[in-house]
Amino acid sequence: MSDAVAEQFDSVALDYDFMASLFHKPDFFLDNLSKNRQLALDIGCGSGHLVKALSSHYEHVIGIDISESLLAIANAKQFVANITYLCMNAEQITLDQKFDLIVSENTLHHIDDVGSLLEKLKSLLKPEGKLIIRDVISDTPTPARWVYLVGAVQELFPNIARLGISVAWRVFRFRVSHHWLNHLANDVYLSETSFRELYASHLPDAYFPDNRTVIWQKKTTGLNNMITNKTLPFDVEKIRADFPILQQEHHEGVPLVFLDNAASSQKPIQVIDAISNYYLNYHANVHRGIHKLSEAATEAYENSRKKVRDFINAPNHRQMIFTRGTTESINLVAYTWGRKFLNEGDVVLSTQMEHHSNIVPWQILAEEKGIVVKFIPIHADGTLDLEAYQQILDSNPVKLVTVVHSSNVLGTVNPVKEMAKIAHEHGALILVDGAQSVPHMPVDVQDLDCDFLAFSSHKMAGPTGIGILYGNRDVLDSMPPYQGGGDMISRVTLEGSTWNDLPYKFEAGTPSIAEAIGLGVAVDYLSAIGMDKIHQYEQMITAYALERLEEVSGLTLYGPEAEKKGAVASFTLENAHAHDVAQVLDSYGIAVRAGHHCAMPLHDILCVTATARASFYIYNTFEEVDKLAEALEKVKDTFIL
Amino acid sequence: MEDMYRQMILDHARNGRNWGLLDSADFDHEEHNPLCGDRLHLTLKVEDDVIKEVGWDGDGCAISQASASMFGEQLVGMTLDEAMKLDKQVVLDNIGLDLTINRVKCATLPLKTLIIGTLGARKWEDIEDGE
Repeated sequence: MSDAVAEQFDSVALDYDFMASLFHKPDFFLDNLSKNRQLALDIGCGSGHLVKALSSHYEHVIGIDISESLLAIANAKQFVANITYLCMNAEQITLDQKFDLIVSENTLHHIDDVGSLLEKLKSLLKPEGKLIIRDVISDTPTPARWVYLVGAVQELFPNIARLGISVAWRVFRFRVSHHWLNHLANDVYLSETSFRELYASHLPDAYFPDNRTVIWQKKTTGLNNMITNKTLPFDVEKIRADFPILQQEHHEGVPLVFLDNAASSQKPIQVIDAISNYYLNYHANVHRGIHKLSEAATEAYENSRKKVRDFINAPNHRQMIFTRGTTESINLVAYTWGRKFLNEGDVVLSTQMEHHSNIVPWQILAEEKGIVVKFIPIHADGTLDLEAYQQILDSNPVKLVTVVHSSNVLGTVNPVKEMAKIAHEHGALILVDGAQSVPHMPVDVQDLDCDFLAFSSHKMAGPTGIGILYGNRDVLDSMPPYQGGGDMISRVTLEGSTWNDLPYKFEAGTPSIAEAIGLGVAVDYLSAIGMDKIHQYEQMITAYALERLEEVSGLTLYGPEAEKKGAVASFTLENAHAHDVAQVLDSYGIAVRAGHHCAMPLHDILCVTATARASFYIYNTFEEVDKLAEALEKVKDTFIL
Repeated sequence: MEDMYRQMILDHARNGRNWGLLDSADFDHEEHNPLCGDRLHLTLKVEDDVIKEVGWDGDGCAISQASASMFGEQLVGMTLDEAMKLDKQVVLDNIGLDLTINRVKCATLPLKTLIIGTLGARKWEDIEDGE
């Protein structure tokens, strides 16, 4: 559609307006209004007949048209306060608003790329918003000029009596005028079949009430229904109130939408208070002092260990080693168990979707000891190739399988229980990286039957600088210490030393006492909500997010469908680098992560240098997901011309 | 009441009963309390499964030394089986004071030495954890 089309419209504007007034019947549209009645849009509004009819049903109606002359007529007719006319080419729509209803009558046959326009219109709709398109069709796809010529002749004579001679003459003149035929020169009317095919391919679940009309409604998801029915597993607003940081404005007047939880979650006031209470009232070193403060600190520190033990259903608190986090937990296993028990040629089997922290320690060990690190490949949908897993185990001396429970990029939740069983059948141990699973779902180490589980406090509402290595007790007993120093010894002489018992053997030096206490309170906090409910809620919000993001044209999502994944949505946006996406989202108050998320090998496999990642936690709302989807449309406007 | 215990503890700590290691003992084991460095070396003479003689030395706080002294007295005449089935509450009751978490380890050092020397570290961890 070009300027020439606009000129052609301009040249027939008066005739067109007359024709439209004669034949326009808004009843169909008025019978099919959207549920919400705030904002409506008419694409190709011409001289505004339909816009005017809609204006008495909607708070505001916008009409766009390519012809300034037609809009001048529309404006001249009557001033209605809640109508805005904009001269705009439908193929280059730039509107910030979201609409409850978008209509278009006898316009889309002018459009070369209907598919792109429909994608754009879909993105302009609010949830539950409605799109109604009526267009001219003919029996077979036919050049418009012929349809008009034939129609004009057919219409002129039977209708003279009814319309009156002057009207019939104007109809005829209009239909066969030089300008009008010029205008129609490039138009083709679709047949009923091709009309259906075209619109059905771009509007899944569309409804065709007659042969030239299509109605499509933005999905009211099951999730939406759940929200309105208030069947969410817990009261999110109540949880949000516990997180002081969420109350602040990100920029002036712009609230914070924190969607970077896979990197690190925010902390509830209970955790913050527990830490400051420790420093204010009973700070002292643990395990040594006989005084009251040290006793209190020791008790709180050890009590946290037991809380976390119960949280993952570990058999014994001695199997819970406090580390600095997941990374240190995995390194601990590599440096102690790995150094002692792995020999040249032994295989450590990881996956292609690992975080660097579960790749690099093994590569270092490979250099040092000559072990071989292999990786289980992933399917195109982002799930692990379990057949390949079995094959690698069958044909290699695998001593350790080390696998992420839930991918920090794809979100894939791996079947670690099944994998543990297979690993054990092959005489291998299994280490599970629980950094992205323990904060989000019930994890039971006895049920999984894993030999190691590593996870971090800061991703589960607890403080930074502390995490856990859970280990099989016999394996932990067999391992040499990690670091030497205080607390980890039983007795030190200048000739040699003996090691303390579990878990202290692995906790050299003064530990992160405040952080351990904070983690214990975080575990209390999550348990009070219930990990089942947290998982249920996050599944709902993730499914909703994937659905909303899928509607953003030019957006590619990575990873499996919602049921198979954690609360993570990684994506790329056509023509915009992930860093730029994150930057623009930040200006709308939305915090997401962009980059390779410490999983460069996975990004190589996905053939992208970087992805943007929105990740959710207990305090994120469905409204925040809407804000993300809406802001992404604005990002697109910035980068896609 | 507490005063009486204090007197008794101080008496045992200053005048440890069965102080001194036995020659040619049937049981001989030394353990430490890693928190504060208390040391206990325990030796036993066992005939027909019955503990006939106890001898120990060590260094540490009044609680650990008194506990060793009292525990040693208790052991004489017990079968080794009976001794190995003792609970940490036995030594805590000897001390009779409400001990805090770090001091419990002082009081239980003699039992820990006996258990680790006979049944191993894992068994002691279980007893210490009360499981």
